[in-house]
Amino acid sequence: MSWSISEGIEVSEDQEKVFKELDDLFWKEEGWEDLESPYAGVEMWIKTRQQEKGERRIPLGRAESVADCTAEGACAWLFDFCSEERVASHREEGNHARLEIRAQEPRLNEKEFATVKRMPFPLSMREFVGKFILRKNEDGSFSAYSVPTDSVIDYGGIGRLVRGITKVIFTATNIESAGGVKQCKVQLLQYLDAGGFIPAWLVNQKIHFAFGVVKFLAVSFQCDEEIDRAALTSFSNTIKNEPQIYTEEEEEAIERGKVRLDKERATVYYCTKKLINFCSSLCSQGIFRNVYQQRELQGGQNGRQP
Amino acid sequence: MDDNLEKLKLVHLEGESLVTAIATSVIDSRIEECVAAEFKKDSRGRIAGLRKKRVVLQEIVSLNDHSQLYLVERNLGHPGFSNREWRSICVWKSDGRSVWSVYEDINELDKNFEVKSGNVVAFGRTTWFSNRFHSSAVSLKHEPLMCHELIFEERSLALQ
Repeated sequence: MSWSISEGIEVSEDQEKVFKELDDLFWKEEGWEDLESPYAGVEMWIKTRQQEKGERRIPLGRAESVADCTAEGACAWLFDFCSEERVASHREEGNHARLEIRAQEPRLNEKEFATVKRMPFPLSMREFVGKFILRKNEDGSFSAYSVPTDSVIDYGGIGRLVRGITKVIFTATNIESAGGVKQCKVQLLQYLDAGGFIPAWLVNQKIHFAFGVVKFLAVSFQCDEEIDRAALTSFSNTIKNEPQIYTEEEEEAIERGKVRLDKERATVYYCTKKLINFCSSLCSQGIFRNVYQQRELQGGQNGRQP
Repeated sequence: MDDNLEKLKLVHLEGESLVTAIATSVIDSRIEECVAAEFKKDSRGRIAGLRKKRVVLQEIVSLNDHSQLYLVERNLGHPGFSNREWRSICVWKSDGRSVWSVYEDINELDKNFEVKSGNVVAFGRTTWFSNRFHSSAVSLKHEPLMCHELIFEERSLALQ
């Protein structure tokens, strides 16, 4: 059965409950603090107040970026959990399983997934099992909500696994096109409990790596060359066709620049000339003579003309 | 750098921190595109290459279509040297046949962007002169596609 995300779909009662639960989790209270982003073009924030209230090691993170695609495209990209591109990247990172689980009663806007991530030594691998639910928001943006499920997955004996919990709200909003390329603003809100015992300070320090998916999405749709070319063409048309009105200071700055160029051309010419004269005088004093004589001698021995 | 199309002359007096250089090049492009490519510093391609050029920070405040304020902070790449900041205004002007772009130091950016502690404010004055250069392929009906650029750059590292 085919379905287009842009048409929207009626959501069930249990799905509505998930939306409300996650909206409350992320937006009930303020307190977002800036987080240094390791990815160019991705802004990040972190909220750690809930850690003080006893929910140890679980920060809330937020990342925002701009992708060169429509909001529908961005959501579809995230929903397609086992696309060839993402599975290949998953394997390159040395991770294990990445699966989409078929439901007995499939829903068009819902998909269950499971993934096993490698962790740095001496931590065990982490397993995340959850489901994505898509929806079209009233303001025209699109969201993908992810909540954990309790399904038991048989990976075929890949070793000791610790189950982590992740809750996500991914929202994509169409924004103004740039250079004819459609763009959308994407926002990822993430609750990540890696399970087991990991100190809160370490989790807070490494949380930004969980936002790699935002950068991956931006890179997947990147159209830098087209956007730069369009901006360059537009600006060169401005230079060629649009008359400019200059202030007195601007006119003076241009005049000073012209004068300086002439003056410094002369300086460089004078210094170069002076250097040549200096070298010539050294030659005439015999300082370089031996070098020339040796070269001439070598040339003669090799049968070359001096 | 010297080849048939690109030439660089540089003067650096021993003991002084002032470098004066003139570089010339021939570029296979329309003159307006050359100027636009140089003037627009926030294109995605340029921003992606900033780290390679050891640019730590770049801020651009556009004043109008022909002038902008430009702040750039660079790591000189040698241990022991502080980062340098250049704060300048850039203005271009076209007379139809050639285009002048001039960079001069200003302190208007100091209000919004304070000098970081430990950084040194350097100064630089640059003049770009882009002039239409007749293409050798004169038999073509298109307008000449080559332009001749003369670049003057005087830049001090203000060693302290």
